[in-house]
Order: sequence, then C-alpha cells, then structure tokens
Amino acid sequence: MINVDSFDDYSSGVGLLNDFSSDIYRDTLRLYKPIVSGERIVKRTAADLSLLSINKLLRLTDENQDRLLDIFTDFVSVSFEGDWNTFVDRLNDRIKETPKFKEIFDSLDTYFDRLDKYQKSRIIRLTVNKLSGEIESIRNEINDRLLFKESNKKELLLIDQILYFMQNVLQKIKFGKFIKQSERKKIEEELGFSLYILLRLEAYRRGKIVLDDLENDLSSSTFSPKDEYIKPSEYHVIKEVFGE
Amino acid sequence: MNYFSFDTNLIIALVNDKDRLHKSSMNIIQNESYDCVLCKSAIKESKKIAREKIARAVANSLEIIVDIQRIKNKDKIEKELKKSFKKLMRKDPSLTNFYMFLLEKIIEYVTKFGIRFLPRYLSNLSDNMVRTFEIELGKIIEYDIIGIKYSNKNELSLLSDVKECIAPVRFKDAMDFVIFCELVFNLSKKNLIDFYTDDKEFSKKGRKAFSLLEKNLAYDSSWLTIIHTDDFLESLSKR
Repeated sequence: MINVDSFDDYSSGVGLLNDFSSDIYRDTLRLYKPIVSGERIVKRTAADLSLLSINKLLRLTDENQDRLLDIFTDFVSVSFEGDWNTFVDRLNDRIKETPKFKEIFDSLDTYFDRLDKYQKSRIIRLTVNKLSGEIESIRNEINDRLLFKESNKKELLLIDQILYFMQNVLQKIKFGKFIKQSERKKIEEELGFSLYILLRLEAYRRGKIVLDDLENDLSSSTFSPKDEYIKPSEYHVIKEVFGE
Repeated sequence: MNYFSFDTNLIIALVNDKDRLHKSSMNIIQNESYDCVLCKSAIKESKKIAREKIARAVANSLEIIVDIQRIKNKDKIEKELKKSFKKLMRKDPSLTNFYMFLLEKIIEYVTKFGIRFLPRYLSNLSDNMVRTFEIELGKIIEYDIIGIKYSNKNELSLLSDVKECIAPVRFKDAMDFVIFCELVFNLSKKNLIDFYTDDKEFSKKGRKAFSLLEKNLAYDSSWLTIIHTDDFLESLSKR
C-alpha cells in the first residue's frame, strides 16, 4: 500500500528530483568534466590512465558524492552573473579547495589535454548526446506525473521548462570533425551554462534555493527555442496574459 | 546623450493594451524625444511576471486534462474541454481570449496526437509564449539594454561602493535595488537618464538613494531624474 508520504513525494517536483538524484550526479560530472563520458574513447589513447580517475569519481561513496554535490550547490546557491567561462574557473577554484577532489579533477584535466582534437570532439559529442537522452527521460517522467491528479503542476512545469531550456542549449552546440580553438571557448561556455542550470536544480532539491530563484533563472535567459509552437500571427492573443 | 527608461510595470503595460497603465506608458513614448534604454533586470522581472501568469493558466488547463484523460472518443474529449474551459473563462474573464487560444491549441494537438504527451507540449508551448514578450515589446519600442558587467573588476568594485553608500535606504525588494543599481551604473555626464515609474515607493527611495550618491560618490543631480507617472501626466495636462 502506498503511504501518504510517498504519495506526496511522487506529486512534487522535489520528489521527482529525488528519484533522479543519481542521474543528476552523473550528469553534473559529465558537464563539469566531459572526459567522464568517454570511458571507451580514452582506451588506447594517451589518456587511458584517466580511467582510474573516472572510476574513482563514479564510484565515490554515497557520503563523498553528497559532499561533492554539496560543494557544487553551495557555490550556486547565490545566482551567478557573469560569463560562463568565469563561472567554471571559479567553480574549479572552489572544488579544488578539497585535496581529495583536487587530485581527481586535476588528473582528468591533464588527461583531457593529452587527447587530440578529434578525440576531444568525439567526447564532447558523446557527452551532449548522453545528457540529451537523460534529460529526455526525466522530461518523460514529468509528463506522466503532470497527468497525475494530485501532482504539483506549477512546480513540475517549471522544472520541465528548465530541462527544456537545457535541451535547447545543448542542441545548439555545433560540432565539426574536430573542435577548432576558436569554437572551444563557445562550447565551454555552453557546457558551463548547462552545468550551472543543472546545479541550480540540485540546489533546489537540497533546499538551498527556492522555486522563485529557478523562475528568475529562466526569466534571465534569452534564447530562441528550436521548435516554434506559435505562429507570429498568434502573438497578439498572448499579450492578454502579460500584465495586470 | 539623454535617454529615458521604464520601470517593470510600465514595460508590461506597453505590451498589454488592456493594462491599466497602457495609456500612460504609450503617452510617455509619444512625448519622449530621447532614445530608450531598459534595465536588464526590469525586462527579467516583466518576463517573470508573464511566466507566472502563463504557468497558472497552463496548470489550470492541466487540471482539466487530468480529468478527461480516460475518455477515448475524440469528439467527447473536445466537448468536455470546451465545457471546462468555459468555466475557467467565467472565473477569470480578463483571460478569455488567452484561454480560447489555449483551448484551440489543445484541441489541435489532441486531434493529431492524443493526450499522452500533451503536458510536455503545453510546457514547451508556455515557454514559447513567454518568449514572445520581448518580440512584442520590440515591435512597440526600439530600445537598448543596460546592466552591470559582473565579470568586470572595476564594475564590481563600484558596485560595492554603491552598495555601501546607499545602504541606509531600504528598497522594497531585491529587484528594485538591482534596477536602481543598473541605472546608476550607466550614468555619467555624457549619459543622462529619465526614469519613469508608477511605483511611489521606488520614486521616493530611488531619489533618496541618488542623493546619497551625489553626496558621497560625486554623482551629479542632472544625471538621473526619477519621474512618477502621475507627475508626468500632470505636466502633460498643463502643456
């Protein structure tokens, strides 16, 4: 029999995020250090030893995973204003204050630099594809819960729109056979921004920020979604909902 | 250069012609000869308000959909949807056209694809709707966006000076404070701004905070003029 607590948990956005917490941990690592997604690609390359660090990260004890996410989410508990490369640089500084994590992430950075431009491009493409698939599965679950009578529609809708936004950011990343130096900064910015948004969701799950903060995040974003659901001739009808 | 700018309520009112402030904000545009600059955070706040209203309307629609999801016959679904949406429109007549639009979109979707992924469609649709705000705003007025460059060390240092200087003034909320900061960050003897607001409290506190900047950080009184819409309308009637 389902008890009242689990029923509430199923209905809420936080409950949904709880159900995907281990996926969010993995996705955070993928976005922060894309090499984490490339376990197979790094084999037989100059970075094959990075597998040791990747495994260390993916197999951290629950307590250490929680500690790592705690550092990440403390960092984003205040909204960040600035460029996304700076965000990642500052986040690096914060994470590396903990020697255990510094050692792992430094080694991943070193190995990633040893990969050639084709291998790097393949790893980032794989990261984006894996993330897109995982976002899709969370969105499918949200869709189902929105059809559940007792669900918190407003909260679930907002979380869904954040994921929709992430999907759009990730889909806009352009890949060639290899990443040119000039494109690298742009891609790092897009991954940095996606990482921030994902961490804000985790910070919300941990009660470090409130729903209003997530609404602010979405409202600060300017992007044109890939799929247009409204024709320009329909824009005027929507004006009614703006304002008092 | 001289510029003019708007507080959040007036920005929203520009877009919605049924808004109580629409006439006032349009009047200002028609009488201003300067270029318009809008604070990044005021646009953000406008979009947030729009997002909240759309989310409420979409959440209400989802409640209806939950109730009819077991119905298999598409004609019956359409009939039930129309009946329930009528109730929503009666509850909030100001959104009648908007609910009509939503109803049409839902029926169109359900006819093609059924109910299974309707929530996701509505979520994407509502996000798209919010994003029409800036497009519609751009049709009414040409503007540049002003803000603070948080990655710039000089600006961060100035921000800390401004914060310290205006600390005795308690703005109503964080957003009012940020809007004020964005304005003062973009002032100089070459950039003067007339800022229009409908908020009496912001007018009062903004003026007080600016007088502290004049006193302590060498801002000039001519750089920022905060104008309450009532004062503007009064001066307009005297012309």
